[in-house]
Amino acid sequence: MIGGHDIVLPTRGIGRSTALDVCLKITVRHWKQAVIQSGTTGEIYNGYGRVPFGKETELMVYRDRASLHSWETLGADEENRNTMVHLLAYTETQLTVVVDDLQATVMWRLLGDIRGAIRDMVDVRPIENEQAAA
Amino acid sequence: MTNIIDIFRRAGLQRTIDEAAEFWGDNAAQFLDGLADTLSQASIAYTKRFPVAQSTIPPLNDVGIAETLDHNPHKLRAFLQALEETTSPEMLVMVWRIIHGDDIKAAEMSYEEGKRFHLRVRLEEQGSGTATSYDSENINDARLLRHLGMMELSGKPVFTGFFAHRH
Repeated sequence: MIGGHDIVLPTRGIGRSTALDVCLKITVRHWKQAVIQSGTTGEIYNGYGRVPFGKETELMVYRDRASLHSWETLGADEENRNTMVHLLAYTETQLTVVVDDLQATVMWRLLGDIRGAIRDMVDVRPIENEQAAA
Repeated sequence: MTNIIDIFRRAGLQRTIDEAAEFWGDNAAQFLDGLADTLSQASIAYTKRFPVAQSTIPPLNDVGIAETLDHNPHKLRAFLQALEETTSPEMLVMVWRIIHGDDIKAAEMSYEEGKRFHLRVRLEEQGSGTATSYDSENINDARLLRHLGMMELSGKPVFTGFFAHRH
């Protein structure tokens, strides 16, 4: 996707869906006008509550509608740097966050919050493996 | 309501049922009936507060549970754990709303040993901005607070959601 940085977060014990859920929830807190898109189907979800985390493996979160439009029009470009976060959760044990510029304040803060939330849950309250679900 | 044992099993919480059966022994059926009864009461309380047509969040009934199980089983697990921890229909309505996206705008807890406990949580629906409040005077409902995710946003406190524990 974007030619940026991949940050891999261990999520052992949390479960894939919960990890994706937590990351998205934090991202949309940072970006109040965020637009959420499925990374596999391209479907735009009308808000956090519409995302089927049990079925999703990738989400793109754009800062706002203008950012989505810019990405759709230009692809990765200097104009839209740091306006999209790519979340990938294909396994139960890790989640990858892809961002443009790790040093940008907006991304640094966002990643810090995501890392803190995931770490809290991994450390003190792991959830049973989702593979146990029917 | 759908069979409570079936809901737990399909949500991946078989161990919850097994452990309850072991702990309660001959009274296991009574325990499970209690869960089913609390769930029914929560469903009634939800419908009173949120007529289906007025909310984008799935209703707290068989249809909504099935939809949540299909799309977001991790959210249903969090809800079922809450069902084990509280007998308050109001608190369960609150949990259902949080797991489906309502923002936690305020929470207040007061306590005096041997005298009183009060928990009030105020939620806001994303998009519509509809605000609702939930109250409890049962100290056991403080257990629900352990499910809350938290963060600081620009140095300010934010509860991010309601998540499941490992069973």
